[in-house]
Amino acid sequence: MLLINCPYCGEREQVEFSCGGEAHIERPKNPPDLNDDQWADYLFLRKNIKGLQYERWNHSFGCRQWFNVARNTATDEILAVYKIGEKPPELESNNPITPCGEPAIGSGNFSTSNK
Amino acid sequence: MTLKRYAVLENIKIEKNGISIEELPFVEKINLRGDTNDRDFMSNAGSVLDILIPTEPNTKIQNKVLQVIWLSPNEWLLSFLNHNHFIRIFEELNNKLNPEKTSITDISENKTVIRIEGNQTTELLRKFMVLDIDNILNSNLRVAQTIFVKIPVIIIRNHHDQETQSFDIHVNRSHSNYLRDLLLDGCTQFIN
Repeated sequence: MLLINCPYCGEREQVEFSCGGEAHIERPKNPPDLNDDQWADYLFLRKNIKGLQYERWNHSFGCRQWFNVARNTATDEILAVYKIGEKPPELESNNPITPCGEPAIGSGNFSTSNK
Repeated sequence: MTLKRYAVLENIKIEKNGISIEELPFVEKINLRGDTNDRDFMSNAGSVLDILIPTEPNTKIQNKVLQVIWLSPNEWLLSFLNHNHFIRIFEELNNKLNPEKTSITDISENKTVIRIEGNQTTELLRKFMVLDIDNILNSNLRVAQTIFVKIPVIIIRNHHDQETQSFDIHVNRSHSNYLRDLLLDGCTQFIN
């Protein structure tokens, strides 16, 4: 069971929340100046980090507030929770070793990488 | 045309194995939104309701007329205990609060209220909820928004520590039969 510490309601079970994807994506200041690739990059392309990732979450079955979470996507460990508008904390545990000893960066799938 | 306001489960009270499940008669409710940093909002709303609006998460404050339930940092549910004051308070809120900075919505038809009482109520609720009831609903001033199996509910603790356990569950009207049936099934474990 994954517990998430909502900055408003306190610790609740993960099923009460929904993930809103990568955090801290800024809207371009002058969208008409962008070409199609740059605009598509802003709209659609997201990081898929194995390790520390900053995400937006919503307490959808609770206070319905958005907030940010720093989560290790490999271990599901939640390293920090902070409100929207606050600066992301500087965390050292980037690219942590995964529980099963997979490479820190890359697909991590041994059966694929050995071929 | 004025719609007739009614409770969903026809106010039937069911008692099974020491636990009673009852839908409260139609309860008027208002959703109130505003900024807690806005002094005018806090003082005017407080004077109309004759009660301080709770700013601490997962809490409620009540008087003889209504309960004010914290929903989010800028949102509260006003649940009326006395039907006679609903129209007056609804109109006064609309008159005294700045419409550009607040929202006042009659949501009486949105949810119905089911009251569960009995000494094993907490144990019954644990079968259906992931909420840590003992820690989060640890006093009669506490409330929580959570899920009951898969449906969104607001659960309110009514009892003091030494009293018979009593909880109110605000549930969508269309989910009320489902919730009641699950609770009745859950009661079969408890034999007096």
